[in-house]
Amino acid sequence: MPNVPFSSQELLKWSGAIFVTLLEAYVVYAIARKWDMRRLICAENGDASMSRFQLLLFTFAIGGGYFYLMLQKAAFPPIDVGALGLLGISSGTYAISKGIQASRDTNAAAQASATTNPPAVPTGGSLSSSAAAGAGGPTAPPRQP
Amino acid sequence: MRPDLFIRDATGAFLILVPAVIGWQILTGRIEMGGMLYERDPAGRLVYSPARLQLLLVSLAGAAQLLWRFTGNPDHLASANPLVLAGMGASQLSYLASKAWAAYQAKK
Repeated sequence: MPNVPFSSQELLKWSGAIFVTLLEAYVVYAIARKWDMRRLICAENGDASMSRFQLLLFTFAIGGGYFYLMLQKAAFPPIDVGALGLLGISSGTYAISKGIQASRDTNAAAQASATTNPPAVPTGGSLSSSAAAGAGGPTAPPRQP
Repeated sequence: MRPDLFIRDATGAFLILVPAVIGWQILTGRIEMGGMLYERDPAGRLVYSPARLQLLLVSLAGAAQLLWRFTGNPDHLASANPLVLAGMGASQLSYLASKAWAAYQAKK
């Protein structure tokens, strides 16, 4: 057995540590330089969303503290109910606000569609006769009133 | 150096760098914040929304209070003050009510 400076367990630990560190370094680099972060807190219509900003704020405030404690104690710290409540309120508001926005957008789209494409008013027999003529079939006789 | 200490320091740096980079991009305008304090009226115009302003202020105050308590006692995850929690709830409710009202007006 050759004499190696690292045991296989030690090598595995270092590989994991270096992999995670490289991944973290890439994420930081990508956020700073590569990924398009312009619309991070924007809604679908392009306006900045208050709910998204709030969710970002509390995720950093609570998540950052949680990860800090986890690294310090090398264990999962208990999560305070109040902090969970804050995240819950924020996420709930985000979800409800998305629902309201989606309902509003659907209504606006329906109204816009109704104004640009008014519903066709059927006129007695003209549709069926033109369709039959377009298909090359025998023309239907005009319907008598 | 041990691998667990190495990964602890690297992840600590990551946790500082990500909010710092995003905060910097917000401050320098690379992340778009336009229209955050405005709402669209039924005609599609942007109008100033006081409900959004109060929500922004309460959110910033809530997050600052949480961080303040955590830095005061970094051995535990900071608990949110019940008063802050109630204030946040009321603020969110008023924001949602104003949004729902605007949607209702647009529908009418």
